[in-house]
Amino acid sequence: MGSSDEIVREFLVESYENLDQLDQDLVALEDNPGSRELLSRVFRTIHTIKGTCGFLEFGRLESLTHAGESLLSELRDGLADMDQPTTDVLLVMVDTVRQILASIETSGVEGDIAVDPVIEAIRAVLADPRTPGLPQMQGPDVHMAGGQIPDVQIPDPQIPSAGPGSPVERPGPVAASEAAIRVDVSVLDDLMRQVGELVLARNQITRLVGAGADTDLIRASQRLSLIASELQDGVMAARMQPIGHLWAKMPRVVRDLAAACGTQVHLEMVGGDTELDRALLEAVKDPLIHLVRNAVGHGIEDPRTRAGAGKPAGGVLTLRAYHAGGRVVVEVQDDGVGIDVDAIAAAAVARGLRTPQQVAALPGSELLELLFLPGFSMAGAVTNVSGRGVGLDVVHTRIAAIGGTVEVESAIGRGTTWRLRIPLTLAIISAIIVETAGERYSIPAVNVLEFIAAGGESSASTIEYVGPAPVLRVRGALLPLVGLRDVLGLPGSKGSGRQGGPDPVTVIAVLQGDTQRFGLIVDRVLDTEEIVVKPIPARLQGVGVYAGATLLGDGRVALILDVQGIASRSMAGQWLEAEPQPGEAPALPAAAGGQVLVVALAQRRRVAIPLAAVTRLERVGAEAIEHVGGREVIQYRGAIVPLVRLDHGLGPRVTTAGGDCPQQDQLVVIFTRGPRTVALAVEEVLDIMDDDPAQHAEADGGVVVDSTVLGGRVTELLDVRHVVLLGDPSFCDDDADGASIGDPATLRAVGARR
Amino acid sequence: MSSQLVTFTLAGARYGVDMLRVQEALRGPARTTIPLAGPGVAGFVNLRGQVVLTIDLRARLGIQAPAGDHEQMMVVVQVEGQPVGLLVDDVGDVVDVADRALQAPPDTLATSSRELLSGVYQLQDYLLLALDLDRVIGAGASPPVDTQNPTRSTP
Repeated sequence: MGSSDEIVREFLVESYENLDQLDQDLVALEDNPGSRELLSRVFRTIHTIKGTCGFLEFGRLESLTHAGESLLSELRDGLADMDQPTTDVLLVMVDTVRQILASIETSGVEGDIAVDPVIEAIRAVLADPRTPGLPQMQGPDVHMAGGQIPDVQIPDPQIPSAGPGSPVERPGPVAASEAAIRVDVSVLDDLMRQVGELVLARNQITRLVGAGADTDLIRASQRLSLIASELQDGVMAARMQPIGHLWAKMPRVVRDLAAACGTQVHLEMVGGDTELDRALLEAVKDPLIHLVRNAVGHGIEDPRTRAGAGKPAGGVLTLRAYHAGGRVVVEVQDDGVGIDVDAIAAAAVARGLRTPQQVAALPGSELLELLFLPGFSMAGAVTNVSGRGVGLDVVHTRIAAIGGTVEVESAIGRGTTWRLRIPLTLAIISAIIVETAGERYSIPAVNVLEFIAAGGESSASTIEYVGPAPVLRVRGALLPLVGLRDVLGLPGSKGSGRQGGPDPVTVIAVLQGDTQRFGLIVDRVLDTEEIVVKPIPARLQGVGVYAGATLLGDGRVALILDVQGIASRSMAGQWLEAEPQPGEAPALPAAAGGQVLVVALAQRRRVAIPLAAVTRLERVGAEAIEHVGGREVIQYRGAIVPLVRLDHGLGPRVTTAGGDCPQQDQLVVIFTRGPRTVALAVEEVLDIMDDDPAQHAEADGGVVVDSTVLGGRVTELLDVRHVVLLGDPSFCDDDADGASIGDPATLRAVGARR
Repeated sequence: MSSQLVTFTLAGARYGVDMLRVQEALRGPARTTIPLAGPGVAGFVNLRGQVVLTIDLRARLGIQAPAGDHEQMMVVVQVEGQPVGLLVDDVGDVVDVADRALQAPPDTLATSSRELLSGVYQLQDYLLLALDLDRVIGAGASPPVDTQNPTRSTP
């Protein structure tokens, strides 16, 4: 009994593989009906299955394949022509064979799958190739699931590899079977785990030996190190599978879906031999099929529309895979209708996912990102194939879960490219070990851009504060800072000690999250290490800042930080929600004491702005400055914000449209109060200083409250309220007291009262 | 029917867990604390190459932390197929108890710790509190899990 089970299993595995090949060959045959070679291969495959199932006494399967074989032999001998009905009936036969095989796999018997209608259909085609053999039989088995893209049921070629204890499939050409053996996936998984342990032990020994002086020991350890690395590479290579394996089912997906949608799609696949870890391949499968369906269902237009647009009737869908930057890039590219960013913006607003102001502020590339929002859909055009909840957020989530990213590029009328960037392997990653509050944490090296030492004697850069948020100036850009102690709620926060004495050197890891870049303040940077990622319990993943755990060389456990998680956890609070809520708008503080932001205006004039009044600093491109009614405005976070320039005499400067704006980036200071925001154009941000009210001298009013000495130079203190009124006369309309404009005394009184 | 319980002490009281769930007991190895994991989570330890979560039973049961720096022991139990470490004061004997001797825990216990016990055995010399492992390790030992999009929480 045991040996016969074995034979059945072999038969199943072999047949599944053959059927995958068959699917591809049949679709290829449709394009190339006369190919004797393809026909012979298809014939041989069916013949093999028929022969084996006769031997194993699977009667239904035998009669079904026998009928198919008869049809194929006529085709092969040129007695009949390959056409659409013939392909359809053959594909249905292949599907039925699969169903029977699945039944044999699960229950050991053929089950009661109806083969007679299929056999009838084959006979009908045989009798008269002109009659469509399968009127409306199963056709390509298309389900209309909730108005989504027709869910073309794709028989899963990976069924045998789904469970443990089933063999690995080696895809690829029919030949080359001699040099390959089948290995149980669980054996490979075990090997991988053990190699992981070996790498850890190797790290530990390297550490122990590091201090010792015995040359022989050092040599032995180096050899061990080398062998462990090679073994790791070897086992990882054994787990690699070409992505072409995944693509094998795509021709069928595309063909069936295109037929259902009435489009013509030519599928091209480039770089199918690019290899990925099998666990990753498995994880990429569904997102990839989703994108391909989207491309065929939404992207590529029907032939008439295409002709109207001056494009060839058949669309081209290209799947491309290649290595780039230590990652595997998988592209799904169509030459279809493209994505209309305005429609996306409208849909996002209609769904209540974004406000019109937010949408208006987004550049085109970020509008495309809206596609990945949970709950997003293009409800504007619900047809049978256009989705209601297309679920691109699921694609995004799935890919992000394996440490990958999704990008999209699109040009209206020219097509869309989806680009998945996927790490090569999951199990072992390169990481940087940092220390904070006496514990060590690892940061995946792919997220780390650089390290910066700020503060201290030698360094030019110091941590500054915009509102409550610490920032660092890095090559002209403002880098928001997050203290790891703050994130983890550990005592002794370094990042927020703004009243603390002169800081010693602060170590900042510049990290790249999904969308934003930020600096993480840590205590020390220790080392880089190849670490083995160990999963952590789901409830700890829920904390949102840990991606896993690992064992370090000394055997201690270290947590792996989730950079994206930290970004969304910390940055939202600091930056995205920096705007005060209407109704709880803080009073504009008077320019008395506290810290001031010293900026240079035109003519190198130094002006100090109370820091507490500053919402943030922004750099806007010259092209972003627009003109409305003779006034300059910029778009900032979905709102139109007046831009105030102060000229030499610190009065308002009248600008004319298309005037003498310098063609370079403009630095602006943003003031926000309640719902109103104005931007003040400045030449340069000079410093942040402590203002000493004792040094103030009364100035002549207007936009200047006082003048004072800061950093040894006379500096004018700006009356923020006045400046804001210049930009937006209604700025203070909501003030009941009707404070007279520009009166410092009143201003202070208002500030004090609140 | 009788079952065997592995006993241990916490602040003088004796507790027991089903021996079939206990993998081993050892001196507490070096722990890595997990910030933000919530009370009751003592950290991760390296158990022969495996990263094992440990639970601080004192915190979990609402008992004060030990006064001195008495080295705690770790009882490794299996929960849902995963090893989990429990920090205890001392590990005691294995005792045989009759299943029908299990009584409801006294009502005077605080509800929070009452629901972590499956009951009390009255033994000759002492009372044995039987721990309900699944409740001890399960919900409540950590903050609520946010399964909905932990990564993309754009406002």
